[in-house]
Amino acid sequence: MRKFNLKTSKKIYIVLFILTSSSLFYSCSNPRWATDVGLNVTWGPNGPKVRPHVDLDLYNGGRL
Amino acid sequence: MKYLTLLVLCISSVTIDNYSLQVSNDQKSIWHELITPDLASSKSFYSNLFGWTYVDTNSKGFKYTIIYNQNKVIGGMTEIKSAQNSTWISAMPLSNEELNKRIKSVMSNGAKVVLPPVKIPGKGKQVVFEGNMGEEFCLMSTNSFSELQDTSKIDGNWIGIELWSDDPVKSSDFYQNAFDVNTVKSEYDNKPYWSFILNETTVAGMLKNPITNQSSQWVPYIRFTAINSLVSKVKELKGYTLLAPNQKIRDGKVAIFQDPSGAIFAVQHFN
Repeated sequence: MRKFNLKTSKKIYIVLFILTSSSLFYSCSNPRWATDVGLNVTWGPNGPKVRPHVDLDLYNGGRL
Repeated sequence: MKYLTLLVLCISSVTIDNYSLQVSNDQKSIWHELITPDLASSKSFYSNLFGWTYVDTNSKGFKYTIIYNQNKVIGGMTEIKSAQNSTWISAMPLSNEELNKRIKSVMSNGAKVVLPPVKIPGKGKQVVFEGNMGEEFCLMSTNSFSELQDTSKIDGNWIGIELWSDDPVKSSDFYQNAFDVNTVKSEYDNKPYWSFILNETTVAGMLKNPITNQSSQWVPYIRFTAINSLVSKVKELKGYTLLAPNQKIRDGKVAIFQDPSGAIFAVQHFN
């Protein structure tokens, strides 16, 4: 069985750190788009976006 | 250093959201501001739709665009290139003394600080919070722009703001405690609707969040008479219609749109 040396372990930690950081920063971004991915997605200036869907059984707004 | 920059950009992108209520004797009108990743595109969209014009300002390196409707100030735009999407954020302008009191009140009722108090050249102090349903709103000190805001009832001006809440009961509790407003529940078309009341005046509305794939948010309403003409115009301008005027809903006098970068706003023919 192959043993990991110190250099290999460092590389693994670096990769894991980058992956974790990417996930962290993604979760920091506006969460509104992190929903139902795959449904009605369009491309915006900074990547894909999910089109909002209005439930007409709920909406009765504009009573201001 | 690279990660510090990323963190700053990340925090900036989180500030892109919403609103607050008018609450004190020295209350001013809600200040509406568009945060956008593409200022040129946003300017063009709203200009073609409502005839808005703009003046770009630069105060000590902070670039800020003032929005004018029929030559009167109605809001602002800021470009944050790292933003995932554009968003209308409304802020309550307050005197410095009132602002400090309100910050304490909001925080003691459980609001999370999204962007800690910052002093922005030419704009004064501002704090962005997240309410108990995740909706964002802003408190800011009055400034030379907000003081000039036009609130007359003409096309292209703001009507008000509405909270689309995932849990209106919890939101009622939060805003009643944090902003000293009363919440009155009504029913229209067999659907519940809540009004936030202050000094016998409705300062904002609330309904169960009708957006099935987005969380709670404050939505601004814009006054406009020829509402039916907007649908084709929005499409032409690369925006998106979430709700076209429909006789079954408010007699066809309301529509909901999304600008090309993602900001949601409602338009209403308001008598």
